[in-house]
Amino acid sequence: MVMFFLLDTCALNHIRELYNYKIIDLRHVLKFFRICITQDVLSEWVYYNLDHFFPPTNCYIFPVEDKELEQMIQNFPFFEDFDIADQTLLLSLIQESSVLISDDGALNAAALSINKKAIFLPDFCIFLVNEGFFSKKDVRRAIKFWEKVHRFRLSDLKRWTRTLNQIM
Amino acid sequence: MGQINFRISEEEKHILQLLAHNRGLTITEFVKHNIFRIISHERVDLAFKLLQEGKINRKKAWKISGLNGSEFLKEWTRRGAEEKIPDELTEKSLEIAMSLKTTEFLKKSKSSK
Repeated sequence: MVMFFLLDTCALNHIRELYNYKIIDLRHVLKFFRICITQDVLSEWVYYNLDHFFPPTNCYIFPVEDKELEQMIQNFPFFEDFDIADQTLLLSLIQESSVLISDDGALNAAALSINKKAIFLPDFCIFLVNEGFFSKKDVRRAIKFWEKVHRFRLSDLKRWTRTLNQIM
Repeated sequence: MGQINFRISEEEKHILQLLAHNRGLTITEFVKHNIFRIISHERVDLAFKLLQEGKINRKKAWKISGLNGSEFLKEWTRRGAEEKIPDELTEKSLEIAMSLKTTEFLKKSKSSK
């Protein structure tokens, strides 16, 4: 099956932070995968200068119709609380075989609530170790950094470390 | 685009005109710029307060703060902020990550065409 990773702005901001602090550069690996965004997500990347860090030429841009967005909001009224970029990601998630990489808890919760797949950036890093793209050492360094900067909750970081240690 | 209208006296308008002209701006540009400058600290405080109370998520906090990507993360660290999310959510997302297969997401390489 052909699948896509949808990448949200929060996750890309965290990916850039890892690069800025010389922890790990995930861009080389991201380029191997089908990464998708929408025009509204791209607008956010441009606004926050993330498009220079990870050029959108590496991504597929999913077309989004206003009518489809309206229909989605009718079906799931609580999606209206999200900004337009996040709404378009949720729509893409509904329409395409995809997994959302997002570091926004509410967005991930919304995706899971409609039985769609969403993961946090640390989950994605563990997936990359599990699939042989990165060493455990690389991702341990990232987890230590996240602990230092309080990027994720300590209990979650401990869970990710435990899972990392269990990977053969 | 939203619009805000408010009434001021002719004298106040004249003062604003002078100040705006001095900066080479229109009154609207001048007022808008200064309002956002004045509330910049309040925006950051409010963003992290609402986040701490679990009333908003990470992304909304970022937008309300008005900070750029790195500034927001630095402020997050400085304040020891935390997004309120249920344990089940992170457990489930980890479970999903461990079930994914690379081959389904890989771009088609030239050699495989």
